[in-house]
This record gives sequence, structure tokens and C-alpha cells, in this order.
Amino acid sequence: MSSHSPNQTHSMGAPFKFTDANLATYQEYLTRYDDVESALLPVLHLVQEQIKWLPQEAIEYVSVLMNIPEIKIKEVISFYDMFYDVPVGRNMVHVCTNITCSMFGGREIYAGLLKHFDTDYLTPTRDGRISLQKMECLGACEMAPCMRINNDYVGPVDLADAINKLEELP
Amino acid sequence: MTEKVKLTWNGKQIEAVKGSNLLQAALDNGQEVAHYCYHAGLSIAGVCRMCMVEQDGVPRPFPSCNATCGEGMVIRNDTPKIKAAVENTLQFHLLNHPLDCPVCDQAGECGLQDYYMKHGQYDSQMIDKKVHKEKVQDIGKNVMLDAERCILCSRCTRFTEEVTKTNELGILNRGDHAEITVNENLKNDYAQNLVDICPVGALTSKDFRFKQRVWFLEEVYTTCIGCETGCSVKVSQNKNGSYRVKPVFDETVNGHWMCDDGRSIYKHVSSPTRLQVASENMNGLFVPADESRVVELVTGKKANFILSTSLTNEEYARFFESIKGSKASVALYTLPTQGPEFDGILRRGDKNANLRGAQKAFEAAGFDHTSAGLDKVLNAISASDVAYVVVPEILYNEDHFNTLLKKIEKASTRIALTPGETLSSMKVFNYLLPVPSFLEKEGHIVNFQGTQRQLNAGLSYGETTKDISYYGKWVNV
Repeated sequence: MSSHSPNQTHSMGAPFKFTDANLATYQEYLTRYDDVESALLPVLHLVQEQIKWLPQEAIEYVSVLMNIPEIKIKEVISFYDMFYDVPVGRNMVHVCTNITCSMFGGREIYAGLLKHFDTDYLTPTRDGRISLQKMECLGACEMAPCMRINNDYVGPVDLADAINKLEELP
Repeated sequence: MTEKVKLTWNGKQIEAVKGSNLLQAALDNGQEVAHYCYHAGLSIAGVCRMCMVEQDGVPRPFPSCNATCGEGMVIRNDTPKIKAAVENTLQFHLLNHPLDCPVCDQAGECGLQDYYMKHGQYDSQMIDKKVHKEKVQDIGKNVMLDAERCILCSRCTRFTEEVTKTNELGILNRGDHAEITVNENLKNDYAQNLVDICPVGALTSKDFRFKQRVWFLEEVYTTCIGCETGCSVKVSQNKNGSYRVKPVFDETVNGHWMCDDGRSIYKHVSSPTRLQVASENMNGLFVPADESRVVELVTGKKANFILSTSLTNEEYARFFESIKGSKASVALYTLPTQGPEFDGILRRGDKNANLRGAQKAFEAAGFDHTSAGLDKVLNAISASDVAYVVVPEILYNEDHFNTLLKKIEKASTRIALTPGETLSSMKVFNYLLPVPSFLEKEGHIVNFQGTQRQLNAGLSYGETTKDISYYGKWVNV
């Protein structure tokens, strides 16, 4: 649910296609479920693995590939927080601001990171390296305050730690 | 297959088909059940939670739209528990409602208003700011969307998914940010049905909005004459005019729906340019004329009648009776096919509303109704003849009609019998005479299935007493 303006679509300016490896993975996904629709979530994640976000071209591609109407795909994308229909940075950083993490300073870390990298919710940093997103529960209260850098959980962290970790990112 | 079961609804015995929808069974038996998302023509969504019922032996209330009828079920929806459930549900539906009833077109036939009067009447407990959404959105095909009034019953998204299969609409985002959105503007030819099935004022008709308050309108139940399907419709009208056409459920012909073309069939009936009195062509301008002058003009001349296919069976019969014993020739002008023969839902390419009735009447009277017959009559017209043309009520293809008019120019006296507006192409006529429109006469037409369909008269905005048989009598003067 990256944009709240439903009528706006974002283009990446080039056609989208799965790589051969991802196309094979897609075929494997289809064998997991009774119907094609059920494979939509993993398929959208697969697109994001390939190009980080879900431009209009990718939505059209998946729509044709899976024979699902575009609007159904957009419903799914807009429902879930971790699907992005706007361009994001190379590295995705989720900062937990749910109750436990907030009690340990999660919100302050998020605000501090935004300030340090001079950016906003989901907006990539100017070098295109990082997108920050505050999250509801990441399910790791024992690590509070915690954050997720790409696919790795980090915590407990303080603001200085967090900045150091993010500055190391490629 | 249709095994009947007996069940008890609020202590009253009702009968229903085994396995049929419980909510529909209750409605069919005259019981009141509040509901928004359930629609007999769509799949079950179970999202509005208004139709809750309690069953003996079942610990919790459940929505009746998602239940089926079984023998001996004991159902209640008048218990305090259910009343509280419905009231609380309604409170959530109205949480972010903008309360703009005074400027809302749905007012008077709105599900939110109706159920608020029955199940609501509380003061709002909402202390937070309401969520605002986009209000005046033109989503195409004469449909306007107001996202703030929407209660997310999903009837419209199910309609575009299941009935038209065009999938233009969806619900984007989540929670109180969820709203109906168009992926691309509506492109289906049944879009006005969305306005009908919307239980609130979220989807309104661009054609109808701000024209009339619904409580000032009366309904005429009649048949659409837009094509040979002959859908059951109701036309809303009052003394100032007709305002809209809505479909009426008819299992054998149109089910719940009708096409967008049929929505505009009312327009000529109360149009300000509708022909009201006999008019004479004065150098291209039609001015009211005395009927006796027309009678004088046609007396003793050979009459050629070209009838349209949108008249009733009774009119054809009366007409042929009226010209009996004269030498008048009669032909039938059929409208050309428009678009595909059948679009798979309701609309048909053959736009001749009562072709079958006309053919039968022609055969009974011994006239040729084929296009060859029409050509024969047209070719035989001589300068001293009178040519009467009954103008088709709904003209989709004016060019095609104009070619017909070209062919009658030979006749010195050309008279149009028209139930509608004066078109620019009518300048070829010497006289225009008014006849009743489909909304001003009782009668029957025969649709593509061969089924008799009833036309009913509503209020009249034009000449209603002089149908074509009145003018037909002139041949024997």
C-alpha cells in the first residue's frame, strides 16, 4: 500500500519481463496451488525480487501471464504494505513502530533515520540506495526496537547503530 | 429437484425450495431483512453483515444471505441480540458517511436512509475526523462516483466481474481507506445498472442527477422498445416530463438488467421539440396547421403507407381495419441491424421492437412486409400519390432512414406520422401529424422469443388519441 492515490499509475518507462530463471520459478509456484489466483502473492514478490517494485508494466505483464484482471492485481497490491507501486531504493528498510518497539524508541529511530537520510516514507534517498518504511509489528518483540534490512532482522538497535548499519549498505 | 421445505421465520411458517438462499426465501415470503451487499443477480459476498439472523441450536448469529434453507429450521431476526447487531453494524456503515443527503440524488430511495429510520436513530459516537475521499468522479458511461458515500458492499465490482466480465472496478487500499476505484473508465454497455444496484448514493447517473427528487416521480411499468429483446422496464415520470428508465426483474426475458441504449428511450416522449399538433411545412419551418386542410389535400388520392416496426399489435390491427376496402398500399420499414446480432447479455442488433407482431398483422391483412414489398410500393409511387411514413420511435441510424425519405420524394403529398421529435431530415414532408409514443398507449408487442410483452400508458405529453388508424380512415373519406 505504497500510494493512496488509486487513480495514479507509475510507469518504469520500459516493458517488463520475467528473467528465464524467474519464469521457471513462476511455473514452480503454479504447481503449489489448486488455482492460478492463489499464486499471485508469491508471483508479485518475485517481480519485486527482480526489479524492487511493481510498475504498471509489471502489473500488465502479470495480468496477461496469469490471466487475472489488472484491477484484481491492484486490489492485492494496495491491500498489502510490502508491495510497492511506486519506485523504491535498492535497499528496503522496515522500522518497527508497533507497541513494544515504540516503548523502546522505535518511532524515534524511524524519525531520526528519515532526518539523517533526508527522505520520507518510502521515498528513495537521493543516491537511490535506501527506502525507509515504518511498519506495524515485525513479529520480533524480543529484539525491540528492531528493524528489517532487506531480508535480515536487526535488533535491538539504537539510532546511531541503525545509521551505521544503513551507511554500510551498497 | 425443487423439493420444498418448511421453516419458521419469526414464529411464522414459511415455505421455500430446499437449499435455496435463506435471505431470498424470507424476502419472497414478505419478511423484512435489512441487506446491502446481497443481490439476487450477483454472487454472495457476505460483507455488509446487515442480514444477521439467529437459528435455534446455533450459538451465534450469522448472515442469512450465506445460508441455505433446510427442513425445520427455526430462524429469528427480531430478537434483541439481532436488533443490536444490525444497529451496531449500521453504525459502522455510517461512520465516515458525509451526510450530504440534501444534495444526494439517492435520497428517497437510499438504503442508508431507509435502514437508519428503522434500525438507527442514534447520535453519532464518532469523535475522530471522518475519512475524506474523492467525491465527484466521472468514471465514464454516464456514471458518477462519490467514494465518500460508498459502504463497500462490492455489488458494483461483482457486477463488472460477473455480469459484464469487463473488470473495470475494484476496491483499492485497506480498512477505512478502502475505496471503489476504476482501473480504466467504464467501457461496458450495461454501466447504468451499476447505478441501480448501488444501495447508496455512491454511484449516480449523470443523465438523471439533479433533475428530480425521486419522491416526485411515478413509475410506469412497460416494455423497452429499443431492440427486439423487449426488456421489462419502468419509466419514472411526473407532469413535467419523463426522467429515467430502470429495468424490472423479469425471469423470462431480461432478468435483473437492461442495456445502456435502452436508458435513453424515454427522451423523445417529453422532449420540448416533440410534435404536439398537426404541422405544415412552410419553407422548411413547421408551423401548426389545421387538420381539415390535410384531409382536403389527401381526399381522393391514392395512399401509400410505410409503417414502422415499433407499433403495437393492436395498432396494426386497428390500422388495417381502418383502411379496409381502399386501394391504399402498405409496406413495412425495418430498421437496419446495429452492431452484433447478440452481445451475449441482452442487447440485440435487430432494433425492430415489434417486427414479429408487424409481420403477423401484415400477413393477416394480405400485405407484403418484406423489403421487396417496400421497394415495390416505393417504386410504384406516382406524383399524384400521398405518401405516409410512420417515423420509427427510436432511430439509431438516421442516414438509413433518410435514404427511405429520398425515395418518397416522388409523391406530391408527403406526410409523416411521428411519435417523437422533429428531425432535420423531416423537411421532405409537407405535413407532420402526431401519434402517441410507446409511453402513451396500452398494447402488446412480440419480442424475439415470440413472447407477448405489455406496453402500458403513463402520463401523456403529446397527442395520444389519434393513432395511425385515425389517419388511416382518411383514405375512405
